Amino acid sequence: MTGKTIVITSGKGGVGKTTATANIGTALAMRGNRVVVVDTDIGLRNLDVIMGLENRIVYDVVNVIEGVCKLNQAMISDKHDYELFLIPAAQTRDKNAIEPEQLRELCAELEKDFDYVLIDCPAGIEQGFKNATAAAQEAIIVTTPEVSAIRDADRIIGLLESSGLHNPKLIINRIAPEMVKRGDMMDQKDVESLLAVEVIGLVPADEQTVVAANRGIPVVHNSKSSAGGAFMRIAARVDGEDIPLMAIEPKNGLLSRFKGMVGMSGRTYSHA
Amino acid sequence: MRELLRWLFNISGKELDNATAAMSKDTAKQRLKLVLIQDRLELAPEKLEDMKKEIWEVVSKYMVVDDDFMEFEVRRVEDLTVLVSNIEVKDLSELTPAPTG
Repeated sequence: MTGKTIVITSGKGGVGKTTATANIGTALAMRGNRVVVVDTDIGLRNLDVIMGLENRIVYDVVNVIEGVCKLNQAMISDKHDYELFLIPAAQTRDKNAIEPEQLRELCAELEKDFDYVLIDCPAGIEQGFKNATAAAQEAIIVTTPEVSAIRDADRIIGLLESSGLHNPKLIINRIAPEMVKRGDMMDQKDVESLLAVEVIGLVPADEQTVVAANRGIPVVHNSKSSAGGAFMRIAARVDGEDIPLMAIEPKNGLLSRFKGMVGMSGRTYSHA
Repeated sequence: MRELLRWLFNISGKELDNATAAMSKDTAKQRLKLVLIQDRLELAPEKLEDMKKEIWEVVSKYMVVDDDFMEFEVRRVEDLTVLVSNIEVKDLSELTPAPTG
């Protein structure tokens, strides 16, 4: 098996890198792939809690690199019946604990055994970013439709290009369709024209993403969630399927209007 | 039932009225366009303005160009950064030959 390593990065923190990594990884595994997700945010690990695996950590990525444990000892199997594994970040070390070359070797080893190796990259453009990107053949950039996130995404695109990672794909996360409709939020076209990269997914703002994080069960497990559906389609595109992007529309159906009137409005959005 | 439907849809029609108001996303786009040029060229805002002015001065030595119409764009082509400038030439007849030597 010769898999590929994809880094999920953003520049700015808090735009949804870890959520995207957990969900794309889970969705790829649901599709029958052997998947391992690697948290490289050393000192600030979070992929474990988003996936609900925080109580099962014994060893971490730094332990593997330093030879304290074997590779398979640091791999935590997801609770579900498909092939998904997590290699957690070390929490008590810092970014300089590993070198880009060491992570590259680790991922090359994983590629022999997995279809996909997904790297959750830390925010910023320092050592952690250099470590995470050195190991990858492809990059997915996560942004939100906000000026600060887009500006940072542009910096990241430039840095990826100069380190030889061409044609990164873009996920636009937390789109609020009603704001887009009012002209108070940039849409897909606006973001595309500024950043000039291919968009691989549009993810609506969805309360269910927060609920999923609370429970430690990635939102792709919730078949009714619009964000979950969007991540499923992103995984399918990563997996080589040609699925057109769907515009995100505010839900204006009769039923939701009724619900709104009688005070049952749990704001939900359709499609991505 | 038809009355009920019309009543329901009238409510949703109101949402459309807001579309005519000033759109903050256009401001965001305009600001980002400039900031991204500065970032991509790694140039401070005032340096960018200086460069713009100097390029304009050089070009206007040789032809009549529009004062207002001068556009900058920075594109990435693979690992190259390309600066593209559009300058509107007003009058070619006043074109003075470039000094030789």
